[in-house]
Amino acid sequence: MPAAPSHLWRLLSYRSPPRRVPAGVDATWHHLGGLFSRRRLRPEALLRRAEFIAGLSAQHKDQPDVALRAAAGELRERFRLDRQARPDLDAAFALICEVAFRQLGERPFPVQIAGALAMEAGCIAEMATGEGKTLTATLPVVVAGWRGRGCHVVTVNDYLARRDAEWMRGIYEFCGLRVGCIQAGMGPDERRSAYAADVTYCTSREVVADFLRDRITIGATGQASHLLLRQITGDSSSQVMPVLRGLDVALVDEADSVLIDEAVTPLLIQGDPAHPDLDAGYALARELAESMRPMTDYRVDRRHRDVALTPLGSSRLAEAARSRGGVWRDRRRGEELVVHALWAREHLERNAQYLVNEGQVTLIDELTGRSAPDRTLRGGLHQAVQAREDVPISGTRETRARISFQRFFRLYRCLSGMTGTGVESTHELWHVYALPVAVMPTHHPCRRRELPDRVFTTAAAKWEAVVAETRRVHNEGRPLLIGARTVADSQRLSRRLAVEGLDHAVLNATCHADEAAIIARAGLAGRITVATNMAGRGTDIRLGSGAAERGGLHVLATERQVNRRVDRQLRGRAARQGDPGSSQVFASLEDDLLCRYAPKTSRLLACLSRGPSGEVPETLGRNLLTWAQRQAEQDARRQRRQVLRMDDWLDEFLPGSPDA
Amino acid sequence: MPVLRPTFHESWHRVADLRPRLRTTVDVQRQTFRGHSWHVVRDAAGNDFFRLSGPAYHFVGLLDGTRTVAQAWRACNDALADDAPTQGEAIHLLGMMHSSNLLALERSDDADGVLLQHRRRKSARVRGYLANLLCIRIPLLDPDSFLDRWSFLFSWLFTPWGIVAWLLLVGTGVFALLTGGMDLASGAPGLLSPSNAGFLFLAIIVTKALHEFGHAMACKALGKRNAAGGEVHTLGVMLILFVPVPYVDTSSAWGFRAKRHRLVVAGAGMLVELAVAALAAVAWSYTTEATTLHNLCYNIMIVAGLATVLFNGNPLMRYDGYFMLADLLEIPNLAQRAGECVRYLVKRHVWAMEWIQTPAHVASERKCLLLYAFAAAGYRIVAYPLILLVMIERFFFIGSILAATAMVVWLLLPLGRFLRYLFTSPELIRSRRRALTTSLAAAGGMLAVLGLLPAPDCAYADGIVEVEQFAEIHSAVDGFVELSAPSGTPVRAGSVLLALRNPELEASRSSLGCTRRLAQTRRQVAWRDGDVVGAQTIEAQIAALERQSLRVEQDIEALLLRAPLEGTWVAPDAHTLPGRYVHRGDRVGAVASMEQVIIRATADQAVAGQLFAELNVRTQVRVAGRSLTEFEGVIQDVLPAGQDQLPSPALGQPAGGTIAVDSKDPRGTRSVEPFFEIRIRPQAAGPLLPGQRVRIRFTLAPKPLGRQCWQAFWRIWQRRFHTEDARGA
Repeated sequence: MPAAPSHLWRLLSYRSPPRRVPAGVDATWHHLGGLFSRRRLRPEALLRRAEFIAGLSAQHKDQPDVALRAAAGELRERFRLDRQARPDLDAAFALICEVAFRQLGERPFPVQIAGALAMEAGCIAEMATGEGKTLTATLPVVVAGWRGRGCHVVTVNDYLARRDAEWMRGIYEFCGLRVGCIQAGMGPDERRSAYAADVTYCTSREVVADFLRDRITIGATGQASHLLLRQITGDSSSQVMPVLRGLDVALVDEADSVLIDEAVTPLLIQGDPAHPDLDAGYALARELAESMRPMTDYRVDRRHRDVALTPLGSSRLAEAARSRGGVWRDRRRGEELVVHALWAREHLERNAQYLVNEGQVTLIDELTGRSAPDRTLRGGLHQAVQAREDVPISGTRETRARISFQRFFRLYRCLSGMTGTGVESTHELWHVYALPVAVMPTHHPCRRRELPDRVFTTAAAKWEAVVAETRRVHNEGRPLLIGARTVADSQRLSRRLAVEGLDHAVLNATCHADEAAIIARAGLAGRITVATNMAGRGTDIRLGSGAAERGGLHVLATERQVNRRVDRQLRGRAARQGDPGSSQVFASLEDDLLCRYAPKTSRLLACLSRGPSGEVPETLGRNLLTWAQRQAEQDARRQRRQVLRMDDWLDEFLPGSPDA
Repeated sequence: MPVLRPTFHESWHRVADLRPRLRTTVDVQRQTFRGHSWHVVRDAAGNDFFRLSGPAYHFVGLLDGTRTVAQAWRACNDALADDAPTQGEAIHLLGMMHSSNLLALERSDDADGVLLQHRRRKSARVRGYLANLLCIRIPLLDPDSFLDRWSFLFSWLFTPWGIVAWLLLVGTGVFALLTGGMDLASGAPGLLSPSNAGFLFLAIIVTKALHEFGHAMACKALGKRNAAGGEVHTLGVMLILFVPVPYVDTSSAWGFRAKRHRLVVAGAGMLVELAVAALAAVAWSYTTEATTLHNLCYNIMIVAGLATVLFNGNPLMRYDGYFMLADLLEIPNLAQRAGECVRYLVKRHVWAMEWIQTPAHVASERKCLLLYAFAAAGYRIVAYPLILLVMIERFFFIGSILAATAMVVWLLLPLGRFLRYLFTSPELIRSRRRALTTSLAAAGGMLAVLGLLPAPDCAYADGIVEVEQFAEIHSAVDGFVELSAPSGTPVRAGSVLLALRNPELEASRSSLGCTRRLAQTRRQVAWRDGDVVGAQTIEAQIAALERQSLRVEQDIEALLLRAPLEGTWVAPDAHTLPGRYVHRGDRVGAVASMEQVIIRATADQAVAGQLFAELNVRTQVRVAGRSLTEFEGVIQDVLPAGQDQLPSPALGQPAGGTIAVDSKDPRGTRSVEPFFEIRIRPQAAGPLLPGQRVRIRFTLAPKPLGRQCWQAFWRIWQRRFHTEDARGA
C-alpha cells in the first residue's frame, strides 16, 4: 500500500518541540493532576467494565467467521471516521477477544481486558509477569490500527518484536489489519513498507533511529514542509521519501525499561570522522596514561565514576607532552585525552561493560544484558576504550542527530504502555510523559516466595555460597535460574559450576545464539541456567513436567541491580501465572552497587558484624542494599532530569535549532 | 567527566549545522577592562547588550550566515587552541546571544522563538518589578527625537568649557554659603515636618527631572562623539518607596568605547544636581527669610546637594554611584559578579567543589568583587529593614504590604531557591553531603547568634524638661512697679524681686493712723468723763481701725514681691516692668529652682513594660537638636497608663514629637492613645533648661537579637491594633 499523501503531512503533525516537562509550581500542579487522574482509573471500575465486555464477547461465540469479519469491518469504519462511542469500544474489545480465541485459542481474562482498557485510556498498565501482556496489547492496538494512522508497538528487543508480531498476526489479519515488523539490518524499502502497515512491531532503538535518519534526509532537502510542497507540485527530481509515516500512537511494552531506564542514553546517528588530529592522540594518551600512578597522579572516585588528575599529575603530563606536537601543544585537550584513557582503564571492564570481538568494541546494555552494537560512549571515551583494547580506532565521529528517548516518546500523539514493574516510577512517568500508571490485579494469586537477601563481606564468600546454594536447589530437582550482572560474572560462575560438575546452560551477550531454546529448557526440572539480565524482560520460562511439584523455578540473583525494577524483572521469572516459585538475592560488599553507594561507616559495621562464613546479619544487609539502591536510583533520576533540562534549555534559548 | 572545560558537548549537533549571524541592527564596540579587551555587542533596537571575551568574539565574528557553527568552531579551535570556546561554551554563548536578540538563526520557523522570547522578557520584567518593590519603573515616553532636536543647546556642556562653567557655578554656590551668614542647619529639623512636605516634594521633582535630563543629554552628546548611538528611548516614572520620580534609560551608553565618557553619562545626573544645588544656594543666601522662594531654594539645595551624595552617589545601591564604581573598577555587572564570586569561594573552599570556574576574569578582580559583595550585603542587611520599619511606622498599610513582599522576595524566595539548589542541583552531585552539613551548620550558627547571643538593647522615649520647684509670682496688690530684679537673677528665699509703689495705700495708712489717734484721744476723753459706754464703743472702733491698718500694713509689705523659694527669677519682660501699673493678681514672673529639674517622658506600653520588667536601666538624656551632649539620669517613677494629656504640646507630632495627638484638641496636648509617664531625674542638670525637649535612651539588659526583633514587631503590632496583651514586654 503506497503512502497516502496524508501520511506525508503527518510527518509534520507530531508535537515539536514536545510538551515541556513542567517545572517549579507547574510541576506541583501537574503532580496534583496526576494524583487525580490515577484516582480516576480505579482497577475495580475497569474490571467491572472488563467483565461486561467478556460477557459481550460470549455473544459472538456462535457467529461464523464471515459474520465476525463483517462486524469487524463495520467497527473499523466507525473508528476510522472517528465516530466511535463508548459502546463501540466495548463491542470492539469483545469482538477482538473472540477473534483471539479463534486464532490463538486463548481468551483474554477480564484482568487483561481491564489492562487493555487502561491502555486505551492512555495509561501505563502494570500487569504481573506472565499475565499475557502480549495478548493484552492486541486489543488497543487493533483499535488504533482501525483508526488508520499507524500504531507502533514498541518492544525491548528484536527477538520479542518478531515473536510477538508473528504470534499475534492472526488476530490482526482477521480484523483486516496489516502487520509489519522492524528488525535490525532491514533496508529502507522494507522498513518503509513495515511502517506503512497498520500495526508495526519494532524496538525503541530502531524506531528512534529511523526517526533520526528521516530527520537527516528531510533536513538535507530543507524542511518537511518543503518536502510536502515538492510532493504536491510533482517535482520528483529529488525524491526523498521518509521511512516513517508520522508518530501517532505508540504502545510501549516494558514501558518502564524503555521510557525510564533507557532514557538516559540518547540515541545518536553519527556522521563522518570529525577530528583526525584528535584520533591520533588516543594511542599516545593511552601510553601516557600507563605511566600515571593512582593517588599521586590522579584520583579515582568510584561512587561517581570519575577520574581526576591531581596538580602533580597535571604537571607531569605537561612535561611528558611538551615534545609532542598536534593536540599535545594544548594543555587542556591533552589532559582531556589522558583523563579519558584513565577513565577507560579505571571504570570499564572488558566483558562487563563492553565486549571485544573481531576488532570491534561493542557496549553491553547493563540493564538488559544484551550487546548494543549501535551504541557508543560519548565524547571520545569510546576511542579511549578502543585504544586500550588495541583495536583500530574508529575515529571521533560527528553526531549528526541525537534524541533522547524521553524526548522522542513525547512526540507521539497518543502514548500508552504496559509493564510488569511500573509502580516504582509512577511519579516520574507522570512527570515526564503525563502517563498515569494503573495497577491491575493478578489473575492468579502469586505464589512466589521471596526469600530474604543474603549479603556477604567478600565476593569470594558470595560465590562460594552461590555454588553451594546451586547444588542444594539442584539436588531438590528444581529448575534454577542464576542471574549475573555482567558477562564476565556469568563466565566466571559458569567455569566454577563446570569444575563442580554441575551441568548448566549459559545465556549472555556473547552466547545468545539459541536464546529461545535455552529459555524453553530453563523450566525443566533440575535444569541450571546462568544468565545475565537478558533473561529478564519478556522471557517466559514455562515449567517442565514435575518441576511445579518440586517447588517451581528458583531465581537466584547474584547481585542487586542499580534499580529495584530490574531486580523485580528477574524475580518475576519465577512463579508465573500462579505457578509456585521462589527467589533470592545473594550480594556482597564488593559488588558494584554497594561499593559505590553504601556509606563507608555502615560497610565497616557490616564487616565487623559478619558471621563465620562472611555473611552479614540479615537486617543490616537488607538496609544496606535498600539504602544503596535508593541512592543509585536517585542518581539515575538526576541524570535523566539533566538530559531533559539541557533539551529544554536549548528549546528555550535556541528555539530554531533542530530538536533531533 | 571531571575536566574543567570538556571539549565536546552532547547537544552539539543541535547547533552544529545552524548558520547564524549577528543581526544587522547590532553594533560592536571594543572596550578594555583591566587590560583585557572585550567586545560589547549591542542591539540598538532592543537595547540589549552582551559582552564577549576575545576568543568568544573570535568565534561569534566567524558566524556570518554562510559558515555553520561547526565550521566556525573548528576554525576557532585551530586558531586559538586551548583558549577557544569549548562546544558547551559555544552552545551557551549562542543561546544567550539569541535570547538577547543579537543573533539571527537563518530559519523561517524562528518566528515562534522570537515570540517566545518576547513573552519571556515580558515576564522577566514583571518579575523584576516584584523583586524590586522599593523601586518600580514605569516607562512612559520615548524622548529620543526630542532630545536630538535640542541636544545642540547642551552638547557644549560636555566639553572642557562645560567643566569650567560647572566648576565656576559650584564654586559660587559654596562661596555664597560660606559668606551668606545664614545658618544652614537651622532649617534642618523642619525639613521633614508636614508643613514642609509640599516644598520638599516639589524640590525632589524639580531636581530629579533635571538630574535625568542631565543623564539624557550627556548620553546624547557623548554618544555622537563616540559614534555609538547614545539613544535614549525610555523616559518614565520610577516609584522609589512609592515616591514618584522621573527616570530615563541611558543604558545605550554602556556601549561607549571611552571609559571616561561612560563615567560622565553615569555621573551627569549628579553633576547637574550639584549645579542646581549651587544655584539654589546662591538664591537662598540672597532672599529674605520665610519667603516661599527662600524655602523652596533651601529644599532644593538640600535635596540636590545632600540627597544626591547620599542616595545617588551611594555605590551600594543600584543607582548612579554603582554604575560609576563599576566603570571605575572596570568590572561590569559588579553586583551580580560579586555575588557569584562569593558563591564561587563557598563552593570551591567550603564545599570542596573542584570543577568550577572562577567568575573573576582577572586575578585582581577578586578582591574588588569580594569587598563589594560584603559591603553591599552589610548595607542591605542594615538599610532594608530600617527602611521597611520606617515605612511601617509611617504608612502602616503600604508599609506592611511592602514588608510582606520584601519577606517573600528577599527572604523566602531566595531561601527556597537555595534549598532547591542544595537538594537537586546536579552541580552538587559530588559534594551534596558536605554542602548540606555546612549549610545546616551555618544556619544553626546564625540562629544561635540571633537567638542566644545577647546584644545590647535599648529603648527610646521623648520627654520634656520641667522644674520640680517652681513658684509663679503674682502681685498681691495693685501698684506701680518701682524696681525690678533683672530676669535670670538667682534669688534666695525672701529676697525682693520687685518693688511696687502704691500711693493710695500709703495715703490710707496715714489717714488710718490719724483716725486711730483721734479715736484714742476720744477714748481718753470718754474714760475721763466716766462715759463707760461711750468709751467701750470707741474701744471697738479702735480695734476695727487697728485691724484695718494691719491689713494696709500687710499690703504695703506686699509691695515688695519676695521670692518664696531659692531659685532663679524668671520674668521675660522684667526690663519693661518698672513704671508699669500692676493689678492685684497679675502674674509678673516666676521663681524656679533650676537645680531641681525633672524630665517627664512619655512612653507607650511596650517601652514602659520593659522598664517595669528590668531593674537596672541605664538612662541617658540627650537634648533634641544638640545630639552630642548626654547626661545620665535616674528613673524616679513610672506613672501608670491612662493619661492622655501630654506635659507639653512639644511632644506631639505636629510639633515634631513622636506622640500622635488629637487634631481636634486646641491645645494640642491630648494624645490619641493613653501613655505612661516616666519621671526621670537627671544626674547633672546643668544645661538642661525647663521646656526643652529631650530624647531619652534606656539601655536595657542585653538580649538576643532575635528576641529584640520579635519585641519590635510586637510593639508595632500593638500600637496599631491596641492589643492589650503585653506579650511584647
